[in-house]
Amino acid sequence: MEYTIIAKDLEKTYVVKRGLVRRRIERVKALRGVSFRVRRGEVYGIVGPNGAGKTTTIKILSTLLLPDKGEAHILGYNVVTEAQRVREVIGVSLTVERGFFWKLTGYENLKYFGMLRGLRGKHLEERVNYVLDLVGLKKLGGDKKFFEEYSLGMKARLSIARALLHNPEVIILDEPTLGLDPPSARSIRELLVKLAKESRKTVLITSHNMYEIEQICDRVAVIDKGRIIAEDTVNRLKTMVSREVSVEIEVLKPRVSTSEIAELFSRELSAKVIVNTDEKGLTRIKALVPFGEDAEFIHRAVAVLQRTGAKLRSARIVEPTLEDVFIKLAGRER
Amino acid sequence: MRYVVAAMRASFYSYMCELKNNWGFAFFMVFWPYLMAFFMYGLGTMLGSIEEYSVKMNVANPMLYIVASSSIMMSSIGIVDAIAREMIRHRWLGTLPYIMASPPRFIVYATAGPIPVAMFSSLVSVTSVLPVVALLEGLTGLIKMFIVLAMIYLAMLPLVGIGVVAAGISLLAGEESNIAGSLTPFIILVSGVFYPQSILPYVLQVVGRAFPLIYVVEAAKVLATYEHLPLRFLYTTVGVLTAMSFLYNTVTSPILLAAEKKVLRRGVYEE
Repeated sequence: MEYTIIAKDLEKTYVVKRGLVRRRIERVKALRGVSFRVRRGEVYGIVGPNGAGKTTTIKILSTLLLPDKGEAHILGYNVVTEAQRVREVIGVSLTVERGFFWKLTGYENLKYFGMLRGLRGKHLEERVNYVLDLVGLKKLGGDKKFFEEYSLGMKARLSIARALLHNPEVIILDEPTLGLDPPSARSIRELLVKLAKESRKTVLITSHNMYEIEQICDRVAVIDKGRIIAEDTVNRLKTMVSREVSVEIEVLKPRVSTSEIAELFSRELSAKVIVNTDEKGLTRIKALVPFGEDAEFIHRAVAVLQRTGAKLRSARIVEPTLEDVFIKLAGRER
Repeated sequence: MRYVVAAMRASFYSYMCELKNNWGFAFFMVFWPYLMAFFMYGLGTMLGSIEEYSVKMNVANPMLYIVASSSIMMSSIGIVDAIAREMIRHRWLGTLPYIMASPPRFIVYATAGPIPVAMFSSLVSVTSVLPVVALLEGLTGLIKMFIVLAMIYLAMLPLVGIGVVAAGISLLAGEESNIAGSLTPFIILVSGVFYPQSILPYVLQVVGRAFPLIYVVEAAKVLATYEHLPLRFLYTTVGVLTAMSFLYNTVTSPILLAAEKKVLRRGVYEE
């Protein structure tokens, strides 16, 4: 079995200094021994709540952060001692909304990053045109538009185009579809699967979007508090919740925060939940309930939510998804 | 070596694209030495006559000297600014992680990248004053300006080291602080571009000698004063600047390497 990415016992502690006069030093353990392996041609997802250690892992593998302990190899190259070789074989997309020159067109931006990687002449121009076409930016006129005129969707496409520019074996993407409209997100997902299955690229992706991870990843690692708490294929992970049903409740205008709702559910219903509030103020609570106890749970949950002043919009039972596995393993506000 | 050239080409390409796409930037780049000279002339005539300035500065053609020295100052300081600000600019743009995740070593990009840009902007800056030089001094003036340009290029090499220190400190001090912003006025102050260095306190005169800009300014003064090229003086200046280049760049490279390591320990972009 050929593994292109190997992470072994990665540990990282951030030192945060606070205060000007009374200097306080806080140590935040971001990774506590993260290990995983990714095969060639595989799409591997890392999911977890904020602060779980997803981005720290990505940063270490992208040679942008030194681990305190452990080691990681990409195509056999050590990310610390052979960083330059690693940089030659990886393509990285970190944040989609920034990372380019505002007064340069998409074509010029990619040409700059291509030059930086030592590409030149006709080959460089061919690669730039190819990736612009591949991510659909040519159709949108993105090659001639300044980056400052780009929509978020176009920025995400350009960020992925840059990651693919030098035809890398390994593609590392941190939340590549964050904030994108559904059609843009879908076309990016399709592209990533195509790259892995047709071109045998290794794709490592982090995301908050469980649906996305479920759609495209061959294997998934669930990370929480700096540790991988589960790792398997999506289908096998879903068997973990086969004896349970997923209950989804939507409410409007609760007087308490999402974290307080999660706390209430934990205290009064002994339930692990995921609570999200969208930009329209709609709060969505998702919980895993043992088979046969769903009706009673909804009844009690509605009563708890009414005390927060929230107006019930809907309550339903849905098929368990990867998100439910996540609730079972690390359920809390996400 | 492959990535040294790659960093230089990429950096120069992005600069040229920004110039092409932003006409305001291009306009001020060409006319900046004139604006500076106009400002210095205006300020100077409030304090005394141009003849008095000529005597105090010991230059035969004060107008030419003001225009030329504005161009020299802009060009020489340009490299310090280019290197020191470059990393902060990339952090603001969000391009820094992608540059650090590219094959050229960070120190290669930080030091080699800005050199062609600084050389080009110096060329534009010196070229932009050529019409005035030709008008006032004819062909001899033009030849002298090209000698000054050669001196500026030579003075850039030790200034790379100074820029590297500023870039390193900027990154170490939280990646947002622009150390060059305070360093540049200081270099201008101690170099005596627009006034005799002798009016400065003795300590500042000595400190000024540590910056290469003063040697270019002196060369420009000598060139502006003498009819024939004072070759011996020019050779000495070339020698001093070359020695400074070796010394400064050898001493300062570890600072940027240390800054790179610290940035990598902290992480290049925030979560």
